[in-house]
Amino acid sequence: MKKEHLIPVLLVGLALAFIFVSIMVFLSNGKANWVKKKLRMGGILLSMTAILNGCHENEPFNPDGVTCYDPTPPVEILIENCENHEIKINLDQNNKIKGEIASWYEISGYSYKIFDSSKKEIAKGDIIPNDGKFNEHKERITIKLSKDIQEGEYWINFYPFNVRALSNNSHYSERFKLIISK
Amino acid sequence: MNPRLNTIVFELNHECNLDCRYCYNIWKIQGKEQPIRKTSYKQAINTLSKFFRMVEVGHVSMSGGEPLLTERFAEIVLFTRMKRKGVTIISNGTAGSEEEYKTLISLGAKLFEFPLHSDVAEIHEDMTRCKGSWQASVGSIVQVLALGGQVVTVIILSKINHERIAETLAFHKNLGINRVMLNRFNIGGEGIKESRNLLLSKDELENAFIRAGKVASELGIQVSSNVCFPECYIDQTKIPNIYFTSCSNDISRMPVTLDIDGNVRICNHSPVVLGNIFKDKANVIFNHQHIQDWKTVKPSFCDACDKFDHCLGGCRAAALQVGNTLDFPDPVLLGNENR
Repeated sequence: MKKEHLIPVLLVGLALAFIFVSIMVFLSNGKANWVKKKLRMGGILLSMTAILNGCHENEPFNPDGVTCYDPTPPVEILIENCENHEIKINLDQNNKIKGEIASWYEISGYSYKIFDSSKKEIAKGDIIPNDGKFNEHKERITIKLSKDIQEGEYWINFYPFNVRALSNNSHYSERFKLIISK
Repeated sequence: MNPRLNTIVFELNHECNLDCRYCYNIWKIQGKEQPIRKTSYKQAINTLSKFFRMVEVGHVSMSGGEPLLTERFAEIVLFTRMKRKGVTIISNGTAGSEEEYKTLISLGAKLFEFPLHSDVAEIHEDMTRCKGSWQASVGSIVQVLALGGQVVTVIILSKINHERIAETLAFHKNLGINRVMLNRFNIGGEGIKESRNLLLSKDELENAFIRAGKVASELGIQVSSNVCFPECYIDQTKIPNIYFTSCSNDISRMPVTLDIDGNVRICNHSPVVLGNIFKDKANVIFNHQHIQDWKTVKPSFCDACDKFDHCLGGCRAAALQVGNTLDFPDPVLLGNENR
C-alpha cells in the first residue's frame, strides 16, 4: 500500500473503533475505563486529521478589538526555506538566514544564539530588521552567518530581547535546527 | 446564513473551589446571587450542539466557575475539538491533575490561562482567599509547560499585589512563562463588595503598569492589558511595552458568552442576557436592542472625546454590573475628574 493511502485507511479504522468505544461509554453510563479509551482514541484521531489537513490552528486574536480573555498570540518567526524546523545552509553558496518576525506586540529588540550539541556557543547577536527598525507588525529580517562556522548540526535560538539581556537562563521564544554544509 | 463568531466564552458551571475577592462572575453580584448547582456533561453537550448549529464559531474558551470541576470535562473538550473548534482553558489552576492536563493537551487544548497574582504565596492567597492556591497554581503552570502545553498567566492588578509587580513578573519568567495578561481589577460580581480593598488609584495603577512595562522589556515577556481601559484614565503612551487592548462594538468580535443553560451575553462581564438559544432564534439574539445600544449610546461623560470610537468609554459591562446603564462609562472614571 502506498504511504499516502495509509493514513486515510488507518483513520477509517480508528473512526470505527472510536464510534464503538463512544457507544460503550454511553451504555456504561460513562465508566472510567471506556471514557479513557474514548479520550485516547479521540486524541489520536484529532492528530491524524490535523496531519491530513496540514492544519495550523491559530489562537483567536483580533487586533481591532480583542477581549478580556484572549491573550496576545506569541511572536511568530518564519524562516525561508525551512522545513520541519530545520534550516539548511550551504555556506559556500549563501551565508544568510532570511525570514520574517511577526508580532502584535511592540518589541524593543530581538536576538539569536547559535550553539552546538555540547551547548558551546558558536555565535550570537542582535537581529536588525531589514528596514532598520522594529516598528511594524511584520518585519523582514536577515541574519548573516560567519563563513568560519564548521560543517555540522547546530541549534539556533531566538529571543524577544536584545543580546545584552541574554543570560544562560534566558528562555528562547523559538528554536530551529541549523544544518551547515560547505 | 449563520452568524459567525471568532470566539466564544462557554461558562460551564458556577462551581468554584476558590473565593476570589476580584471575581467578576455575574452570579456573585450582591442581591442577584444565583444558587450554585451541579451541571452535567449531557447538558453541556446539548448546549454546545445547539449553539454550533445556530452560529459558526471558531474558538471556544472554556470557563466557569471552574471548568475543570465539570463532570466529564475532557469529553466536552473532545466534543468541541471534534467540531473543529480551537479550545482554550480558563482555569484557576487548582483543580486539574497532571493526568488531566496531559489528556487535555493530547486533545489539542493547547492554551491554558492560570492566575498567579504574586511571587509571594500569602499575597496571591489574600486575593483568592484559599490557602494552598498559590502552590497549586504554580504546580499547574509547571506541569502544563513540561507537557508541551502553552500557558498564559493572569495577574489581576489590585491594592493587594501591585507593589511587587516587578518581582512577580520575574517570578513568572523564571517559571518559563513568556506571555502574561496583566489585567486591572475590573469591578463586578464579588469584586463590587471588595472594590475598596482592591481598586487602585489612578496613579498607583499607572505606576504599576510603567514598572511592569519596564520589567517586561528587560525580561522579554509579552505583557498585555486585556481589560479595556478608558483612554483618558491612564496615559498608555507612557507605557510602550505593554499591549493595551480595547473592546469592540462589533458583536462578531466580542467575547460572546454562552452559559450552560443556553443564555447568551455579549461578554462574560455583562449581566445582560440577549436571549436563550433554546427559546430564541439566532437572528433575534444577535439583533437584540442591547447590541444596537452598545454601538449608538454614548455616555455624556465621553461627549466631547474624540477617542470614544476606539475606547467606547472603557468597560461599560462593568457599569452595567454596578447598576448603571450604557449612558455611563466605566465605573473607574466616576470618581475621577482629571480627564
